[in-house]
Amino acid sequence: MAQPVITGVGRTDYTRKSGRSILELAAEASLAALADAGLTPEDVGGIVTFHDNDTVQPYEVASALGTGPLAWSQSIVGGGSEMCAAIGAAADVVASGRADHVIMYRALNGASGKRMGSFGASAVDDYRQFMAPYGYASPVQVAAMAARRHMATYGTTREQLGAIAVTQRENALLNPRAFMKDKPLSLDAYLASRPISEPLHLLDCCLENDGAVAIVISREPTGSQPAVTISSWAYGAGPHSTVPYEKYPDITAMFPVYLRDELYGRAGIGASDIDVACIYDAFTYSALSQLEDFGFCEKGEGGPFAASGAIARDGQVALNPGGGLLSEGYIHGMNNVAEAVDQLRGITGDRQVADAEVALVSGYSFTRGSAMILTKG
Amino acid sequence: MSDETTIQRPSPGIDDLTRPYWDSAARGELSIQYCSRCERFNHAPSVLCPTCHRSDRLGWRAVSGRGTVYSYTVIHGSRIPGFDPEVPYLVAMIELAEQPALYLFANVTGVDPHGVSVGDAVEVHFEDRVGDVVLPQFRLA
Repeated sequence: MAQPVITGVGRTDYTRKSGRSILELAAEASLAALADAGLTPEDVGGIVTFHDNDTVQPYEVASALGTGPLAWSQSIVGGGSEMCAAIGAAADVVASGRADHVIMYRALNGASGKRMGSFGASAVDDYRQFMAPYGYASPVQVAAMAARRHMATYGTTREQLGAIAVTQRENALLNPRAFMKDKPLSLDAYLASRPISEPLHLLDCCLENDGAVAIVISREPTGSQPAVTISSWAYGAGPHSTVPYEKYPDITAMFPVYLRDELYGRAGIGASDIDVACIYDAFTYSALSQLEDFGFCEKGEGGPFAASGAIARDGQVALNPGGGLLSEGYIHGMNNVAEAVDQLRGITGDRQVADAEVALVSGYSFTRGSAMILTKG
Repeated sequence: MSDETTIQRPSPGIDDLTRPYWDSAARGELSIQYCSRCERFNHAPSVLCPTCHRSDRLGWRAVSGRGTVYSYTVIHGSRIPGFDPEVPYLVAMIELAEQPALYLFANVTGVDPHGVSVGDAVEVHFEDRVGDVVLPQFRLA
């Protein structure tokens, strides 16, 4: 099959209160992505999205844009874990010839609308009945449980988690789009931020935003922008990989251990070939554990690795050079996809990673997730 | 945990699969789903045994209620209703004594939330209830 490419990227502003419907946000980002690719809505043969709180459906976006008849559409229920798998499915659709161009978008009013981890006051069903009555249910609480175990097992410290927050904030200061672009962060200020679910504090947690990001996945470059190739993608899930993971063999091990051989094998690369890692940083700890499980360092060494400077833009691998979900914004991971594309296009100005040719992008839900390798050209 | 909150904490949505667990707690006993073919406990309960993937030998068996803290988090603010008056509170992932990697989640009560460590020995008690449901809780042993 042909190597599919990302030909367009479009974003709305990232805000706390968009004052607009999710459909308006999705349409704006999608039209911007098409314009970036030099395409029009009539060229679109497929639309895909993923969601686990608020969203708008692909057929509504298709109607709003006035696309051609769709050959393919999917609306995948799930969190960041589904993101790269959705892009990968779109890549397979264009590579197989079913459509020439597919739009992938994520649009949400994640700050002013439905917030993650919110719960009603009534009875809680299914496995959550063994969690929520104890005040345990939200993503940060589940991440904190794994982080504490990681600390107890490997000696990981808050200062090491803080190195991720501080490094990504330094990147965000160079990103005009970043929510935190005017707010420098010291390690002391990080350590002093208020506790949310210990050992995780406020500045261990991603932002919450309204906004949308869309990309166009195409069978061939359109010539409008430097080409970025989707070299491989993979989905991975461990056994018993449902929240709250109480049957999971090791809560400090994340999904990459289940997909990295497939991901790297299909791309013909290894972790040492990756220049830019836009990995899903819902929490500092999420990034730390993925750095280990994607093989950038040994298991348990993520803390010292992060604190060594290896994750800086000029380090061994540039971690979320746009600031990531922690400091740029939270469009459910899609802003990290956009940053990876821009880095490979070489258009990120002061925060550009020198000679960026290979990028890893991931989406996460602890033990389930997906990832892709993007390459320049 | 206090029951004097004006907003009630979420209660378990008890169904046929989980009723034996909560009925047992109401009698002051901790019971865990058990597959007699695999001779393995399973929590949270599931419709199929996670080892043999069959249902015909699944039942329930009382356990000692003793375990150790595998991990924990101290929570300072929650989007779960009813917990604001409780902060900070501690949720532990407790490894039960009966089987390696047999975990459940509960609060460790009667102790400063910062007075608990990974590896601490704990034991179950049945002094907490939400509505009519007895919630198994743990304290330092």
